[in-house]
Amino acid sequence: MNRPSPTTACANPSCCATGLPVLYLTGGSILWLLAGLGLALLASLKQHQPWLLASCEWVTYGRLDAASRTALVHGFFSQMGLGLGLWLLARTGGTQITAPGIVFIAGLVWNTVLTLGVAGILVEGPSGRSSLELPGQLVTVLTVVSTLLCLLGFATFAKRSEGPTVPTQWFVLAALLALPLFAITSQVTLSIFPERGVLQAVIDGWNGQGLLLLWLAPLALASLYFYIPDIGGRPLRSPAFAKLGFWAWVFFASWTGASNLVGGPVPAWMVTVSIAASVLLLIPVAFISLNLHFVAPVSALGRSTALRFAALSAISFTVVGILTALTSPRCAQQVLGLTQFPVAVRELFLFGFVGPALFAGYYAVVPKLAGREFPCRLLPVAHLGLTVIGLGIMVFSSGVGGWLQGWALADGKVGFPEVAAHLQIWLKLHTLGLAVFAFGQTAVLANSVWLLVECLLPFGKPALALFSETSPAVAGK
Amino acid sequence: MNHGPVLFLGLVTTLVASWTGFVALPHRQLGALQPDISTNAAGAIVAYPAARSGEAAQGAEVYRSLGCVACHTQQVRPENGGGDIARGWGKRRTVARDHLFDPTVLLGSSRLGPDLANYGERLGTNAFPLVRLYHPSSAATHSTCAPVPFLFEQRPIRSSGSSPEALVLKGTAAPPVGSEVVPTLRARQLAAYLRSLGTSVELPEALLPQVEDANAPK
Repeated sequence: MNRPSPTTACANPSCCATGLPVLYLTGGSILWLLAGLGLALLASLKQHQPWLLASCEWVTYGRLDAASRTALVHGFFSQMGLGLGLWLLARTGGTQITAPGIVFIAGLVWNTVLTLGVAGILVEGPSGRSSLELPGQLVTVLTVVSTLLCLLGFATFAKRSEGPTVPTQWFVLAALLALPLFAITSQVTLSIFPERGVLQAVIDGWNGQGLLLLWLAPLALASLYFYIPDIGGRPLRSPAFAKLGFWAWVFFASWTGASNLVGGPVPAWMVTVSIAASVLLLIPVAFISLNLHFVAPVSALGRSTALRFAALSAISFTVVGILTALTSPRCAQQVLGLTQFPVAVRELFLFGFVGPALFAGYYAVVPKLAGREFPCRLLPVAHLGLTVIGLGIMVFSSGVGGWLQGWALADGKVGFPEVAAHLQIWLKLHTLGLAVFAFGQTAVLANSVWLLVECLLPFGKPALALFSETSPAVAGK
Repeated sequence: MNHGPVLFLGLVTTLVASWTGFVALPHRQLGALQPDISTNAAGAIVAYPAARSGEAAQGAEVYRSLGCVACHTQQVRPENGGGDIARGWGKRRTVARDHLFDPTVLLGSSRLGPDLANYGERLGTNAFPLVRLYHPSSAATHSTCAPVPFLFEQRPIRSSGSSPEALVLKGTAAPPVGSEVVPTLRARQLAAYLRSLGTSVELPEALLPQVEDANAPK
């Protein structure tokens, strides 16, 4: 696939204005990752230790669960994805981010609002809408800020240099269009003029699927479409596959809204359409997978941290796509729905596909913008290793535990206390996996803080000279 | 695909189609849903569902704010779609009309705890056992339900005698000698809400199983 020359208009990105908002959004989001995982770990512990901190209303399981999902989705994934998406638009367009100062301020507002919101969830309780647990007034601010950021993204895209557009741009653009639509719709129909009855659940489900499949997934795919050929040093296999994959993804993903409401009190046609769309997602998954896999030579994996994360992400993408298609049909959902099994699919999607794709971008972009390599070469190895081990345990325990839970629940003769008792061991195993995973993420925080200290302090040792092994993405440009 | 406008228009069309399918059409189909009016056995006209009132309505807020929905669903799936009805979680499937007047619809997506769509009916004529909230595992062995002791007050027994509201607690759950545990207003509201949960009313779109099936002569 033809791509415009990767040289940017800015000769020294570390000093140009594009860098600061990108570093702020991506680096700051890592704090949300750790905060969200901390809350998730406590929630996971409370699943099998109900008496833990029981006298404190702020940390009931329901509140911790909602707060952790909010911190992770709106704090980590969205901000990291947005920062990276804006950077990729500027980079592929041979230009700079429009109004970087406003992007930076919008990021500040986003973080302030989200901090208040997560505190609000712990103090006053979640809204009960699983896709948007934040208190209503704060959601308004967040909607305005995210819409503004998306508009600035369009402005950046509009001033790109001439030439054919590339898949990375298509995917970022899709995400930037989808977010305002989902944010404004859910804000209006759930908060300002709340719909009655189960319409709330329908819109909540549609919004939740949209945030995952049309906001986070396109940003992750944009990163993969850029960095796999870029670092691997080889072009994508087929431009036609990229086009088909992109349009099929956007089309089918936008019709999966009610796939988690199988058997629920909603019109049946909605669920049927969503199931069909979830299964048909296999088509874009196949096209995108064929395009991304085996592009980069295996030898390049050894040289680049970013490429290793991209590889993990691409593998998880294919696996989660197949898993979704296999478990979406009604007969499977009747057993697996409302159990821990969807938790496994969601974790594989978020922490196996989206997270590593964004980290691939992070490990490639930050050294470029900071003007120096990450100080420690071992920490990224630990990060990747613990991510794989922790995620493996998490997905295995939720997946197998949920499978067994589903079959036990489907059998009306097995008493509920027995079902809950048998699930205990899997919930404990899940806590272990989550602890390993969370510990692994401290590695990227440590490396980032270390880099920041080196950049800010004049006596920080020049890491570039000591660690000559640089990724081609950085060394080559 | 080399032109921004084509890309832009294609994306907008796709997204608007999705919006039409999952926001506009459902609104058109369900937005005007009304309660079902019928005549009961005594000849009185009744409407189902009716909005909750008083303590039960306030209890719905307590239920939402504690995040109970993280573990408890309120949806009974159809007979041919899982073991919900066989398990005794409801007599019929839950339909859209059942949730018509819930201020926040909490269908739930995880069953770490049992379904509560008909919890009030399962209690029958018994009072709601408040011990289930204060010390779940002493009310039901092996319960993994998170206790909410902050909805209760532990206080010294007054000279006039212990309160009629005091919980009867045994073993590890019992307070020290000379003190008692009484529910706060929020605990009573939550109990009233849980007591109000029930959907065993026949609707045109969701018939109850025929009663004579159970009493049919063998």
